[in-house]
Amino acid sequence: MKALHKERIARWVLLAFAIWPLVHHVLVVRYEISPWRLFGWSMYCHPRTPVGVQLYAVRAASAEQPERRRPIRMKELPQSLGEQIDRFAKRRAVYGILLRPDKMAQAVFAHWRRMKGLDIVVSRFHLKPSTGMYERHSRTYTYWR
Amino acid sequence: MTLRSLAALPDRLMELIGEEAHPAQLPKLWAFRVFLLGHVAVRAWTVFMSWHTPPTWMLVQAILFTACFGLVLYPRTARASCACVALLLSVKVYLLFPDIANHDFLELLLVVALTSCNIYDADDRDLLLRMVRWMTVIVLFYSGFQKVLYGTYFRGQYLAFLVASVEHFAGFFQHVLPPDEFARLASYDANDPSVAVTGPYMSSSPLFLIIANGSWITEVTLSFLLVFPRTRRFAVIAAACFVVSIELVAREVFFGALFMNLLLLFLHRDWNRRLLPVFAVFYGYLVLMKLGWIPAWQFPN
Repeated sequence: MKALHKERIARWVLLAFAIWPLVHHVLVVRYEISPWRLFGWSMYCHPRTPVGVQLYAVRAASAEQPERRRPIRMKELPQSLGEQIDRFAKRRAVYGILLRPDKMAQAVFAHWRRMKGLDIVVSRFHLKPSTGMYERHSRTYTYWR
Repeated sequence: MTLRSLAALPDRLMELIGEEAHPAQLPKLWAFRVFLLGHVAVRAWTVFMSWHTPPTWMLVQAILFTACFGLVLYPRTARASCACVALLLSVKVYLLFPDIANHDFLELLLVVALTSCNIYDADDRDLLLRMVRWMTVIVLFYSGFQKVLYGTYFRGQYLAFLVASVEHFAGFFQHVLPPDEFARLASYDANDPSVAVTGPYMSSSPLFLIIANGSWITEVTLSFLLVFPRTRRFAVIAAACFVVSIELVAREVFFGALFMNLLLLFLHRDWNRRLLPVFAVFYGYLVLMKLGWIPAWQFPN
């Protein structure tokens, strides 16, 4: 490869290398991607926090009774579903809210055919700079058959 | 700033971080290439030995990295071995993505740069040195600047969290923080997921705040000082001391050693070659420690 071409490629690579961490920071703030991954050089800026996943079977409200929510314990789940949840949690820890648990919901409905509604609560801890408090933040995804 | 001066900026920046061609450049880059492939091989083995049931591809990769390290010592096979390592690292990135550490990506970029450039050609040598130096400056700059953007160092929030949750950080900062402050932080159980809120993770201890803010100020300042020839030598020595002091607490020895070698590339003399035996002994020590043949000294990374 000619020297000029090499130099040109090197400069573009360096430019991308220099700009990407700023883009990465925006993605962390906006989409909660992991500061420790995806080459933003922001390790040691925020604790590495694992993602927690909790499932709830939901029965819709009716004239006779209010909406009911029952937590689904991990030991009720088949191994394959448990592994899918683990994989989701690990990928969610990197990709943040860009990764939704839709496929997981489909798998849960496929396993429990009588289930009408499902809440998937995805939680993660966040160190708030202004107060120094380490707080759990949760997002609930509701699915209906 | 005119458009013409803006257009000339990339040339100016590349020129600024470079140096006049001199005889020490070749042994410097040769030694860095040998170090880097040795570093990749040793890391692969230590990671392999850390797993209870490592996947087969890890063993295969570690063996191939070792073979490539052997081949990099010979001029005829050196670039081909770099290309092989670049391919293997790409496979590793693909298999583990997105759970890839930032330094894995840096290693891949460095090996690709070494593959692309013939260190026996003066123009390539010059380009390689400038590229690697800029990468080092960018990494050091963002290591500090990101701390500013996240805002978790101004009142020591992140370090306070580490004191509460990581044993060797607590061991060090126990001697820095006032006893009541340390006891307060140590009482928080950040690792208990059933507790929704813990904290506050911060301290008003002056020495603690100096250390916390000193880290990002040092990183950002030194990254600029590395760029300019007049301040470069001082910046290398200061950055080396800074890296050593951080790794004494954080214990990320592999990244520390890699970064030291990157810093040495800023110096005029071939310190990479002169200190190569020291790094070889140090890495040998780490491997023997991992094998359990000598007592472990708590190097988790």
